[in-house]
Amino acid sequence: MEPIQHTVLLFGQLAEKCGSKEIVVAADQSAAAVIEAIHEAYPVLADIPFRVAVNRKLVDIQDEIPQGAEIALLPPFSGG
Amino acid sequence: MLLPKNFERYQRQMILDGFGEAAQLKLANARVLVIGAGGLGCPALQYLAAAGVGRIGIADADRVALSNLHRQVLFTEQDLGKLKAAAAAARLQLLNHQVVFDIIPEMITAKNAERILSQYDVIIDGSDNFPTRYLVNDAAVLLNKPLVYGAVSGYEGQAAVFTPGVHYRDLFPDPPAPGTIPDCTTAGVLGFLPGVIGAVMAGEAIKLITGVGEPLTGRLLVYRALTQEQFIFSIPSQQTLRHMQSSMPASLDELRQTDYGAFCGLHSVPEITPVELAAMKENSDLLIVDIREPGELPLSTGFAHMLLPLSEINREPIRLTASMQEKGGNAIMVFFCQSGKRSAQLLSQHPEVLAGSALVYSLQGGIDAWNEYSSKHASGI
Repeated sequence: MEPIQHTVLLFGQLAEKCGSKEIVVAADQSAAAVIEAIHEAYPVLADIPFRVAVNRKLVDIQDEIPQGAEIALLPPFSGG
Repeated sequence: MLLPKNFERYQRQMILDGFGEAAQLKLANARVLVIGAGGLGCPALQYLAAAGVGRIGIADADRVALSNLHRQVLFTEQDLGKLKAAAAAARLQLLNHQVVFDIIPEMITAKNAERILSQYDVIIDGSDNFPTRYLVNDAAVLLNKPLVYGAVSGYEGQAAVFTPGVHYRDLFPDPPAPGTIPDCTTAGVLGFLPGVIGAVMAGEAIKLITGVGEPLTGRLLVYRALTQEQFIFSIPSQQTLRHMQSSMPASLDELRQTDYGAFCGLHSVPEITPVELAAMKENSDLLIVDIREPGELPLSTGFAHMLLPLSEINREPIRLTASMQEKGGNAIMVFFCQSGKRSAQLLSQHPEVLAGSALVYSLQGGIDAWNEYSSKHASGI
């Protein structure tokens, strides 16, 4: 299957380290593939943990990502 | 049932559709615990006290510092050095004398969590570190209490309402590795951001107590201060999430035995006091290391030391062990920074240093404590 273009919203440290709050990556239609593609394109993000949300719902990394879905990467925050 | 002594104070909220006397009475009979009287806790406390919550516990072991004042808006310059829990209660009592405040100048720990949390109906987590966040979550789940969560980082904030059905471990099952997610001390925070999130947290508690509106139960609100954008993500419960881990204690007994610092990858750090350091100052095996960044003041002149900024250690961790080897197997190493926080963090995140043959310590209270000590003992040092 041809990779598709995914739009990914970045939050917290991910956006800060990447220098952008929205990126586009090409990958297959699984969350794991999208994460791999992001880490390949932006190695600076490799150490930062996050959860993946698809269409405003948290998903497991094995889950499929429908074409045109909004993907968001949410790192934990500790500050108070 | 407690009755608010006068309704006039609450008239503007009681005339709201769906609020009224019934909701006000629920607030008057509610007990809310606010953990952390910091950037999130201060605004949350203000709105809870102003709204007429009957009993409010304020749990915080810290004292007010000058660098708190840009965001911890309950405190004034006259509160510097005072216990936050006591200073907050004193200020809030002026705002609303009808509220009963419990001053709890303690860290929430695995040992005291049940005793403290069980006294309240709603728990608000405005803490500033991951071990406390996991501990408070687990205790709230096991005690069957709703938990209002809020956290900030840089220019963004998060808020949610957790219940035993969907809670913090459904959102973040595993704590991040130490050092991967910075706190406010290293990442910085804009004052009004915790103000927004703290007010949201008070609002969620008020919704939970009164039944008005739809709380953020099982949903994560993310707020971007720089663009004024809001996002709401739904959090599936653990039943539908396959990779939930089982590190959560199954009972309150288990919780009491849990080391949340170790769970979050933090190791306990051996510390040395300025008095102890002064006593061993002439020892030739002693190696003192300033890990502050170039330009940080005051310079330390009271003892021989080397400079190894934390930023360089993070870039090349090998320099840490290399500096130890220079001194040989009998070395006694003391790391220090301004307040003792960064040096403790450094040792906690580099257990390989503690495991070496040298004796390794973090200077308790940092150069600030050393200077305070040496100014009192000027003749001897």
